[in-house]
Amino acid sequence: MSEHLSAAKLNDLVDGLLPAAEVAAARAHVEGCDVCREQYARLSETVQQLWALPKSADIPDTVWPAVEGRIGAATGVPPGATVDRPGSVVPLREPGRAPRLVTLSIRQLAAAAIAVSLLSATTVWVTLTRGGAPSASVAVEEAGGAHGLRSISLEATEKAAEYDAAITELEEILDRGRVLLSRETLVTLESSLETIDEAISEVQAALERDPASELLLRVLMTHQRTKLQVLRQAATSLHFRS
Amino acid sequence: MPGTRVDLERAIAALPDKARRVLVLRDIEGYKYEEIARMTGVSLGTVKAQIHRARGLVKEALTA
Repeated sequence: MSEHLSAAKLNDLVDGLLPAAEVAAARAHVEGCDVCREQYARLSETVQQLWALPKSADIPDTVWPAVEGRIGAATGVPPGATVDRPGSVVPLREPGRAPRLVTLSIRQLAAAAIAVSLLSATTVWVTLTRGGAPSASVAVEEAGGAHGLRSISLEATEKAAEYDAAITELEEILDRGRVLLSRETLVTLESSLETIDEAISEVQAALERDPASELLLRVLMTHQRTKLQVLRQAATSLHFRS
Repeated sequence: MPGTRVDLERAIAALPDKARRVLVLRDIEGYKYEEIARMTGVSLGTVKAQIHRARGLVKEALTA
């Protein structure tokens, strides 16, 4: 009797990955060898059962239209509007104070929309990387005051270490449990986090140029809270799946 | 058919961490071997061997 088929070859046969030239010979051997026929049958059955297990929940296709509507409500910019034209201003003028112009890029709006979407109990993660020029911007007038700036700055400083520790811990949890998430969920999660991280980097760069901006500090803290919420939801999902 | 879904999930849970990870990626989440190799930083041959061993362990657990 010819030699038995190796485990690798049996698995390749089950996976349909055996080279075409070897398939006929392998099948013929399986049919003629009691040991290999039983091994192949049990392996094939086991793999079929594994393939039949459900994947993680998918993000429904209806999420984006709902979030797009919220972008307009949250930022005052109509969904789908081109925002690279001057004069697209959402006035936040405090009486008696000259307004300061701060630009918010599409990434900022996207990250803001992620934050808004997290308010929905049914939405888990949303990716808003729908293209669009990274340099497109909306001019937003800001109202700032010394008192408000000091309190915001103090809050940001106090929360920074706490935020960093929480992010690190959640990212470690997510990394350990990543395998339990579906490909679609991982892609959506990674895209959302990428959008938020890019928005955070933008705001931090803007703060270096304008460290007195209360609006930028508020935006930064909002993005950081959003990132925490996204990671927390992911970690919570892993808890129920493990 | 040997193995209910609960038995199957128990068998998967009982696998060593690395084995469970790659088995889930391949046979539940549907990633290709090459993708798993990239994701885990392990060679393609090693990934296949790990998954084949994991399948064997699950198979044995279901028929024990």
